[in-house]
Amino acid sequence: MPDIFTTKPNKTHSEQILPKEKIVSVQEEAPIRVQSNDHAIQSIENLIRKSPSSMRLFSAYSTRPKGITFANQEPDEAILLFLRRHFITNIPWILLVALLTLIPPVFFALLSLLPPLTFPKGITTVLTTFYYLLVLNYAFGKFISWFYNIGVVTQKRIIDLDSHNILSHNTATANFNEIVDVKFDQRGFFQSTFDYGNIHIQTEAIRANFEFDAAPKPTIVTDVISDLRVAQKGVHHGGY
Amino acid sequence: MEAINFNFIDLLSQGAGILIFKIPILILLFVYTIFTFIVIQRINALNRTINVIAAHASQLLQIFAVIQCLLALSLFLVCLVIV
Repeated sequence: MPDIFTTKPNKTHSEQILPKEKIVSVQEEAPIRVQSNDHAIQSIENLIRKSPSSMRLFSAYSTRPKGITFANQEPDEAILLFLRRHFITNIPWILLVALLTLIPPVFFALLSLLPPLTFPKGITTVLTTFYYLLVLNYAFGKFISWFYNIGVVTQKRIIDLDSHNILSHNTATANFNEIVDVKFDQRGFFQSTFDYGNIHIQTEAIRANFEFDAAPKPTIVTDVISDLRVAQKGVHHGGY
Repeated sequence: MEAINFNFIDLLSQGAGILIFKIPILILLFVYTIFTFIVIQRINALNRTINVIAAHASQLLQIFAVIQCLLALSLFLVCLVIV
């Protein structure tokens, strides 16, 4: 009998990635599939091990993050990948906020060059403080929309939490057996230099497609999702 | 050069001045205060959806939102008294 049918799968890897019942059923159904799944699982483990990262306040990419929970998380569901937009995508609004912060001093400096105007201190203080509060609120809103724009890959499904602004957000979930295709695109100088790109996850026709915008390390993320899809479906994939 | 002198206090003491400055500023600040309160609620809702306990991130954001709301509220009160 060929080794492929007799070799026991690496339990340590399997138990870490896939739920137990899945492995058992797969083993009983088709031994060849075990080999294929185990290969996929090992591939995921290697990919995750290749790019370890811990979870911090401004983390945009984290593998097996500690201290993150989400609604409807199953007890045996572990997060494999945690994704946000690359932090570099925040630079435009940070620069805008810096520019907006400089406007009042410049305005008052220019005002001092004009013929003297008598402004009551109360109004000036209130208006300036209010202006800075608006700027702070704008910055906070932008930060929140970055902070809560999250993509999560567990061993069972992918979760896409989109927060367009402070007042609107939507959550979408897809199991790996619903995923049809995973691809990414990296365009331009910044995306190539800082290694981030848009990941497109095509799901079955009725479901909306998923997009992880400006996700760091798109090659690894795409590979992990593809391998998880293979592990769940038991299908072979020819890469991307 | 003749100095241009706008005395806003005199202007504000009149009815039109109050309408032009005080009431719009107060309305804006009131709306802003309400908005910051909504932000706190939204952050709580988002934290229920996904809670980033790591690095106390979620708690920090909540605290920041509360501080922002308190700042807006105190500015509103200051405006009510001073202006």
